[in-house]
Amino acid sequence: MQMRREQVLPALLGFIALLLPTAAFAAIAVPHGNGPAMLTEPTRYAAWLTVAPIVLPIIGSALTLAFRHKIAWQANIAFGAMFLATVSAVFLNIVVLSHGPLLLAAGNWLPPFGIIIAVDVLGALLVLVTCLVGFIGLSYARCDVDHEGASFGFYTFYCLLIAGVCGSFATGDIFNLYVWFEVFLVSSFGMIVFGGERIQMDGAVKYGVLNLIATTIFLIAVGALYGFTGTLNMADIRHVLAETEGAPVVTVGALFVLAFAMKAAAFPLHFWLPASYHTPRIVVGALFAGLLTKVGIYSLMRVMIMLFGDKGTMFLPLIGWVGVATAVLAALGALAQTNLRRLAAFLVISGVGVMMIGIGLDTAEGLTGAIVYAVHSILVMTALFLVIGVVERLTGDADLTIGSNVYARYGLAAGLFLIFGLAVSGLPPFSGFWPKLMLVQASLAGSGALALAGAVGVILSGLLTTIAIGRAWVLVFLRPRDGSENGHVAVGAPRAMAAPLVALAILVVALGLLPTIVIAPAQSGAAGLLDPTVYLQRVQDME
Amino acid sequence: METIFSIIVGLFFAASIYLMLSPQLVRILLGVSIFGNAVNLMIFTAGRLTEAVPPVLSAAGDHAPQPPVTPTSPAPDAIADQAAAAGDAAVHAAHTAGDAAGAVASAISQSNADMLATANPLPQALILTAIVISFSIFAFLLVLTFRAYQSLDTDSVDSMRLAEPTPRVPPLGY
Repeated sequence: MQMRREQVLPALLGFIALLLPTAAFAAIAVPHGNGPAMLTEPTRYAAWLTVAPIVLPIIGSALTLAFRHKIAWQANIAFGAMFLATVSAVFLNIVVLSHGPLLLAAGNWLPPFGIIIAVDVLGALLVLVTCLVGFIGLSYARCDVDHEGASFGFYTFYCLLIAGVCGSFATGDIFNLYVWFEVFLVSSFGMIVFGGERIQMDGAVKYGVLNLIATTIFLIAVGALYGFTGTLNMADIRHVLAETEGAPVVTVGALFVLAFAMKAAAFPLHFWLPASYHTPRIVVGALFAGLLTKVGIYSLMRVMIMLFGDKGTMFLPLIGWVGVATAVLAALGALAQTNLRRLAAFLVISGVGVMMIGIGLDTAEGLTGAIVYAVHSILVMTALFLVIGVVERLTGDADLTIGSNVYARYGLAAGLFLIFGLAVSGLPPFSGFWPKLMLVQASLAGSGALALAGAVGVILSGLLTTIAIGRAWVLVFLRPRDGSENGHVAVGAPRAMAAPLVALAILVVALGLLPTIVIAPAQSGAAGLLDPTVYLQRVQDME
Repeated sequence: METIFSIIVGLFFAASIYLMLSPQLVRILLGVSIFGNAVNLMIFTAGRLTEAVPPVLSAAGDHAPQPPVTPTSPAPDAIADQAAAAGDAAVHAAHTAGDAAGAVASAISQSNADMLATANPLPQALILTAIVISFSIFAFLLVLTFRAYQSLDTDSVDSMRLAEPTPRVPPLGY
């Protein structure tokens, strides 16, 4: 076997970099107090709400598996589970908004020993949007996934994916976060190869390997963090890290930033996303685009801001600058694409950059803007992918090199694409306007190069996105057919497919006209991350 | 013992990164597998490596754990010495790791040295979870790679370009 220099050098660096923390962390343990280890009184009914949006989809997926021979039942079972999960997420939000963070000790084992599920305002908001998008996406999937698809377990994976994402938003234990990462990663593997076409194999290999590496880096960070804090509970970690100085904090923080940036597809680590997101079924791509990168962003917020507290501030300028580069370069990438799906994939990355700018600003306003943008991005990226799917079904292609004259033939699809596209760009009266406005304001309120670059990055990426969307609109939707078809067959779209898209459009416009329904919880979520006193107190009361 | 294992972990990481950077999918997968094992070994090492010490501590935590009833087990004195030495090492390591960890370690008094002589079981439980997960994902990736090899007729990532766009230029005007 021939040694290659470009492989040897990084390998040596990896050896040195990862040798040091292992040696430093070995053989340190932190003993804990001698309080009770287990709750003896029964769990309050309200606390079950924290796990309902996780457990209900898992039950749904188990039922689809149990009734795998009843193909006609599959979609209905998943539909019922997702409906109940969404309803429970609504109640969860009501409780959390009025009473503060809600905790559940899994198996009644108390925090330092057992895993707790801890939902604060940010977690509850994201769980609700996830369930909502899962529910709406399922109404689309009912029309898109055929009999054969259902028999291969599409709905099983679908419910598990939603459960995994909700679990990531709800957990109060860092190792448990890793486990939820793996839950939705495994489900996403099942979904990305769904259909088994050649192009999917190509995309799935790249998606699978790189995401597995990212998750493994996350595991290294968790292991090392446990090595010197002696706890996995998020509230405990916050306490211990506040009193810890020195090299291990920097090492572990850098590993967390690396892992979550890779998950979120931030600039130098984003290459897996446009290589894979356009290959699976459009429902799958839509769900991935809406949810999976946002889990990376959420984890970045939770770990770097809430867990690391003051120690995290040293990473925030890095996150901010990476965000600026991601926002602008990905928007440029979107301009260079001809395939609409790939164009939308680059817009997902651009949005990730905008959210990272918000995190990097290190102010409550910036963080609020990032949270509002995350909610907007989950809704609108899912919607954009779904409407591209409809266009593909109607015309056979969605490519800038092929004029499809969609506007003249299918006015509703063309109008919906324009709504979602302009919402991504951040134009009023759609949902993207407010978070971008908040981020620009937060940037201009700060001082320094990053604050300026943040404002410029948000505005420039918005401008480039508008150009990319406008170009797609003109070339695909307005241009008459010129006979240069790819040979794909138009399969037509059932009328029922319009329902989920119209519902998403109503949500996008509603968030644009009444932004306070998201801004208010986002503000309280950001405040909860920056100053988690109530959260920590709740955990302490439990102990 | 921990030092040797740290070096082994470093070698594992180096080997896995080397393999993951190669263009052949099978080698990348081997690299991913070694990467996962390196992480598991790292967490295992970080949880302390001890030999022939029972995992059950006395309730008071103020005397050395009983040696296992085996003919080859060392004398209780030896265990106590070992425990004290491990305790010192831990305190020293903690001081180098930072003030707070040092403060915590100083809270671990000599009477708690037997606690430090026992391996921490939690990291072992963590890697048990991680091993199961990484094994299942590795199995999936193995099958996926084989399918990709069958349908794309290549195992080199350099020639897996099916999902990449074909260079076509859209009209420059409308």
